[in-house]
Amino acid sequence: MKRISIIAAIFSSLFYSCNIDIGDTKPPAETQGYIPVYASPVSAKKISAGPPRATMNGGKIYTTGNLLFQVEKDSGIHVINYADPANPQKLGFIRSVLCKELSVKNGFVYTNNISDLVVIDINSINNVKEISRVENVFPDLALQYPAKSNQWETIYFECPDPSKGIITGWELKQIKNPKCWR
Amino acid sequence: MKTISQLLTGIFILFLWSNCSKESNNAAANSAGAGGSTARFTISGDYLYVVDHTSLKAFHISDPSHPVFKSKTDVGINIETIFPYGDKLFIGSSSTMYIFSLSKPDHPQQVAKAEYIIRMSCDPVVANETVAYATLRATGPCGGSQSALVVYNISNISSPVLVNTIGLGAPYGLGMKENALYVCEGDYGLRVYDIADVYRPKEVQNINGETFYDVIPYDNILIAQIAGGFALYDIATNPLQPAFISKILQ
Repeated sequence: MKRISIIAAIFSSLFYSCNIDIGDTKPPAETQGYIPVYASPVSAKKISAGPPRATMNGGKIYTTGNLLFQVEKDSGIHVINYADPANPQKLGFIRSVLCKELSVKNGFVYTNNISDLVVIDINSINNVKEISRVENVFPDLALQYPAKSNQWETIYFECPDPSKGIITGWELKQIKNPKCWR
Repeated sequence: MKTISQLLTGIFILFLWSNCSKESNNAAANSAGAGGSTARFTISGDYLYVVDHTSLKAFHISDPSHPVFKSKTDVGINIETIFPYGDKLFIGSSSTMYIFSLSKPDHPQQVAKAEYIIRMSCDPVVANETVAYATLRATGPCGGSQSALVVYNISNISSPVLVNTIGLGAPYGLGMKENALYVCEGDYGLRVYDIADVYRPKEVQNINGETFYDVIPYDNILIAQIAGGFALYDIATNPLQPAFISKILQ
């Protein structure tokens, strides 16, 4: 009997603290929150190359030979020639939505496109192209929710709706009655 | 007139780039290059190794147009980085350094793990035959209580021994060349350590003025990922005294 009452006490304390948690995280009626930016699967999964562009948010780096590759976070890869290190030259830009990672071997760039692994042939400039793709190698890069700047903050966002397309980013806006938060 | 100049610029760019791809073919004929310490995938031989938050995946890439998935190995939780050295992979998670053998490249085998005393940190690893260095960052999304550079004796690869812990501000990626160890400390600069005694890194200088995130020591050049872009340093004459060469910030 005593044991039962101890268990009951533990249970009720758990329940009590649980209630407090729910009270604490109840979403406000209106707040700063994130709205998904959607793209069609065809557009989000199109790999293409173009002229150099400005570095806005430089990410991870990789080098081979005289070439340096730098991720432009979430949008692609800068290709830079530093044969003359005093005067490195941007050569071009490879577009890959949600790009974060890269490796290069034998003129083939391995990177992520959203959550897929893609291999891009850059051996012929007139024909920079995706030559293979393995889907969903990086499930955690699919942007199902906006990133938190630290583990303690609570952020609110409009719940993702897969029927609207693939999420390629989040916009901070004033939102009403958010249904999703983390 | 405008169209002609745009066309000429375009042709010039194409010319530059076609030059570059030839160079890259020649220079890197049968080898992969080098990545930073915070990478989540790496090429070793004919294999691409990828870490996601919980597992290590191996792809056979001898034919780049047909990467072949070979294996998936559950590693742990909060896996963040992968670093190749010889026939080993060093994998950093928020709480543990894992060492995998590539003696069977299709299916890497775990040979050791070393749990950090400090939990919940971001932690890239670099290593050679005898020593592994990892940085643990306690700020930002990873949380945790203390930032540090930790040093493991890995002479016996199956049982790494923690031999040194050096308190730091906010370390990110790291890299080493000969007797020099480079540790990126974000806004706190790039710290250069003398590792003539590999288990006792001695700080010899701290390069300030940029926000440093990761480095690749590549032959004579130290390539640094910095806030806004990258910077190049000459490490040919003295790896302990990186000399600034240039940077691209836009």
